[in-house]
Amino acid sequence: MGNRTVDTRIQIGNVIFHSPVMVASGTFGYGFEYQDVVDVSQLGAVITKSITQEPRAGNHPPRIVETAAGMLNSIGLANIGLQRFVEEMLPRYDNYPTRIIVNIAGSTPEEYLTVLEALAPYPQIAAFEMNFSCPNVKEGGICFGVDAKLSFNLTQALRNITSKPLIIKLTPNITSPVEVALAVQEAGADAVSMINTLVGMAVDIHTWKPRLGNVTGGLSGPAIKPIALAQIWQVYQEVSIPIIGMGGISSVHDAIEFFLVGASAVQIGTANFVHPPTAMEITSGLTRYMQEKGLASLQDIIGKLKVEA
Amino acid sequence: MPYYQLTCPIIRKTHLTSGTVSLWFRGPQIAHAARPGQFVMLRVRNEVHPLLRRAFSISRCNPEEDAFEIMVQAAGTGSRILLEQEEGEMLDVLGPLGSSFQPVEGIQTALLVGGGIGIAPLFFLAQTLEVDYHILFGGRSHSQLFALPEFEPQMRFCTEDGSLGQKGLVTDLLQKTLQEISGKAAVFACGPNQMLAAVARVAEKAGIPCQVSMEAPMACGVGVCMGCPVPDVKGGYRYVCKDGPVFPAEMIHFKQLVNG
Repeated sequence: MGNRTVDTRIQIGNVIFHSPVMVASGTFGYGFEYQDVVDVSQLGAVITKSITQEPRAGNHPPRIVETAAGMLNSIGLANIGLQRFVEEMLPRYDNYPTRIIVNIAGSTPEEYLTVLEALAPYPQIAAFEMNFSCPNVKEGGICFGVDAKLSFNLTQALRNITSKPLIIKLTPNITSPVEVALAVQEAGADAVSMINTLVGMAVDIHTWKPRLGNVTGGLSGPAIKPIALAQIWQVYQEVSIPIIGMGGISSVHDAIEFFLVGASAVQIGTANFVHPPTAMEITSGLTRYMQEKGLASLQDIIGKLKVEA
Repeated sequence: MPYYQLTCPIIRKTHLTSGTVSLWFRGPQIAHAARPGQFVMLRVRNEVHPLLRRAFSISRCNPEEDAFEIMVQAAGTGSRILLEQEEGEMLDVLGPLGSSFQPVEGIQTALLVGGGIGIAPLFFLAQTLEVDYHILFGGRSHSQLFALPEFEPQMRFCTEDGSLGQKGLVTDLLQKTLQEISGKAAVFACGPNQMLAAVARVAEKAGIPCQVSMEAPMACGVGVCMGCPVPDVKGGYRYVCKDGPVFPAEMIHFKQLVNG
């Protein structure tokens, strides 16, 4: 079994990715920042920072706090905005060594639609991930991600704009993610990605102040992995579209757990900060694992968790 | 400027004060490429806690032995683990990162102003300067301060409690030094934000250029996480890891930075 070839390709919507290992939005910049130490051609895709209609300066500092086996962030979707993204980044993606998935965020449904309409025609973009779940942005007042009806309506409107893969990034800050996952599937989403960060907090006992300028932030890193696995397993049993799993993955061991509970692909987030080549190493580690286990394709492990009846 | 991810052995460890060590690492690409003011992101151990890398200014380079130095002061979990590391241990280092101190044309004297462990990058700058310089090193008390033999003749000390050198703040020492020197000068400073704000004011009043090296919590060090903003005088933010850590002082909105 040693040298048999394994098929690590994965299809999402009408696009095939050569590897199921991607790097998560907000943890890999616009795809260029880590190229000194990461061979991005080995990644299934790079997911950009969230792009919003207008540039965003981001939240008041401090924006980062380390916690036990994790980190809290309250970046506030700091990004260069749609116009500069089109002018400065898109041309640089012409010969980019792997697929680019653009993550889109907004404060209103119209903002998502405007940004998607503007970006949909560009051939440099393979797919779109819709951030329905940023925990750090207050204005607008609506968190689409917790409301199945709003999520359905927005996904349907987005679906009408593009035939490229549409991935909806779900929030974990909800009693059960299943209802929203089913709603976006019904509305035509090609995949869901989960989990985004969990709302969390840290407090300075000397100053009695919150340790983030925004008071609360999003928790990521190894600390959230068990929650991610449980939510993906829940959704996998109800939903038929692919799930792109993330939440604390930092090794191939972690990634395989995600495939077993039902993820068709994975995203590496916080681990990029700690060890930039993590996603690359997971890609090769996954191939080795499949060879050793005699698995021909990813379909042989996705959702194959053995649960006693 | 490219950066590297290297596994670097600690080749020398010396105590600078009771709670501060100098760690020299062998890391050829970093030692040869680094410029004064740049920093490294160091993984204190390969486990999930503490999770994130720690940022350290490069405090000296010795290209002949492919080595660079950082100075670590006991602060939190990460620095305490680092203080316990011994020669021969290997650490994962990303660098050199960020901007560097820029030469200022036509000056006769460089004034290097350091507060506490903020002194570190100024030694590297002193190594490369081709003009006369003074290193002004301020701290709360003598137990925080130290001298390096190669720079000692140029070092001046001050402490808030008067236990070493002039009593008072490093800005007092800066003002005194400015009165003593003749010819054009420039200030290069690193330390706590309050101190940098005060140093920038002194330099501005004296009409001399000032560059500051800043610190902020950061996760990545390479312009990805957007976790390390400092307010820009023109509005919005600059990022310590990729726009800095060294900034022209006039670029930073110190009032907003210090008052929150």
